[in-house]
Amino acid sequence: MPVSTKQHNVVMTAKPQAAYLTATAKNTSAPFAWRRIVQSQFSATDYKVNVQKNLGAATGTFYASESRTISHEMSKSMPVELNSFDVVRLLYAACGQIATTTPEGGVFQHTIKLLDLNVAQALPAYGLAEKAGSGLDQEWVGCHLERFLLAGDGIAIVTGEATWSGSGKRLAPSGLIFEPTASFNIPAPVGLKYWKNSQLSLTVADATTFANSINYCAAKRVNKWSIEIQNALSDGFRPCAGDYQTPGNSESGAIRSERFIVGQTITPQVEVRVESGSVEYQYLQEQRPLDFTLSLRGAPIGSFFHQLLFKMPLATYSAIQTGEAEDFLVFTITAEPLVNLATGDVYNFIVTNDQAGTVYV
Amino acid sequence: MGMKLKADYPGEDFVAAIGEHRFEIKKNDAIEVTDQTIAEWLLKQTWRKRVAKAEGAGWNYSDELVFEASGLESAPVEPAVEAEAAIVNDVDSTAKARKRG
Repeated sequence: MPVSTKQHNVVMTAKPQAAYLTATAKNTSAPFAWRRIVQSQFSATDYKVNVQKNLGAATGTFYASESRTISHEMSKSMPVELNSFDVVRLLYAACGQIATTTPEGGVFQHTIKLLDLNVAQALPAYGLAEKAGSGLDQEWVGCHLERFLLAGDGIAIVTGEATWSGSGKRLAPSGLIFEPTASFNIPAPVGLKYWKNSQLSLTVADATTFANSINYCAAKRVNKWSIEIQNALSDGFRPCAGDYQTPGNSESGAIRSERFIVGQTITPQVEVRVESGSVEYQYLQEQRPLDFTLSLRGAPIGSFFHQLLFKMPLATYSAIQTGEAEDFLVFTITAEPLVNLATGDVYNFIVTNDQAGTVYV
Repeated sequence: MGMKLKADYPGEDFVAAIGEHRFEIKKNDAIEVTDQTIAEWLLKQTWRKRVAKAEGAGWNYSDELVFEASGLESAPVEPAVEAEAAIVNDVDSTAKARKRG
């Protein structure tokens, strides 16, 4: 019997792994160590075995006679609809540091920032796994978030796409047992709160003073937006580290031994209608220091809301492109953060939800 | 030299993590942080929590977390607190940075 894409389930560890190459065990009672992610479209893992063949030697044909396993790699694209529960996990994976406070009973605020390189050099590593019937069943150890794209368009549900890059360590079978099967170790993802792009607010003002505030939503100017985080990760394959696909078997091919973050770019981009008196090109020309704030405010919790707040307290416009949408002129504005050396801050994501910080770390 | 951090926080538990470092502090609890770099990071990240309760109403310090630190040879986060307050532009006068010994 063929396997349907609808049978394809993807899960990730609820918290970072204890260590890069330490797989997270699966438990059968709450709090569960693994979490099911409902992808918005089918996307499976890309597994690659790097080999070296003896093509340089004369074999008398166009083909090698030997293939030697050198290393293993995996990558995985995870397209999702953004909910206030899992976005914390994905943002923490992408940015590397989190602090959670409790402004009100049952309300939690998670502040996620780019990690402080004076304190840590590695993003949190997660375990991923996938299962489709009995035909595809595997787990991946030591996965880092290489790219995370958040995007809102029109009034639709806000989307995200996480791209993972793993150590190459593969375990099969995965051992996943989904609810409602007896003794399940993967609970059903229920009670999630999603954001719609109609819940957007977008403001730009002078940095520090908040003068000259432009509320793009009040003027009905916003068409769409996106925030892309792109992490550069170190290669991580280390000679003589002794890390192989099959432990102790040096012929089974190397897996990564470590993975550090060595660079990051964050690219917020908004498409807004051009309006009489638009100042965007002036701001670009002046390289005016701006406070850039984007917010999605969803379902209420107490006196708060399930909210995603993205803030660059010190930013400039780095590019503006003029185009058209629905016969109206539009600007596609790209903003770029600057670091505030006094605080070390570059940007903040503040997510408000009903999940305690211990759910994530 | 390490230092002791005492959480004085009106809410429930406080949780923070960076790299392999994870902190969970119960209300009115104290933790010992032996690495000064980590302690300074913790202070800097959590000195005050900014929240926007209502769009258009500006920023409010409706949620405050204050650590009392002892054993710290210098107070490196004080300028950072001032700078952050300046950026936010809406400082609750009751949320003054507590003086550390």
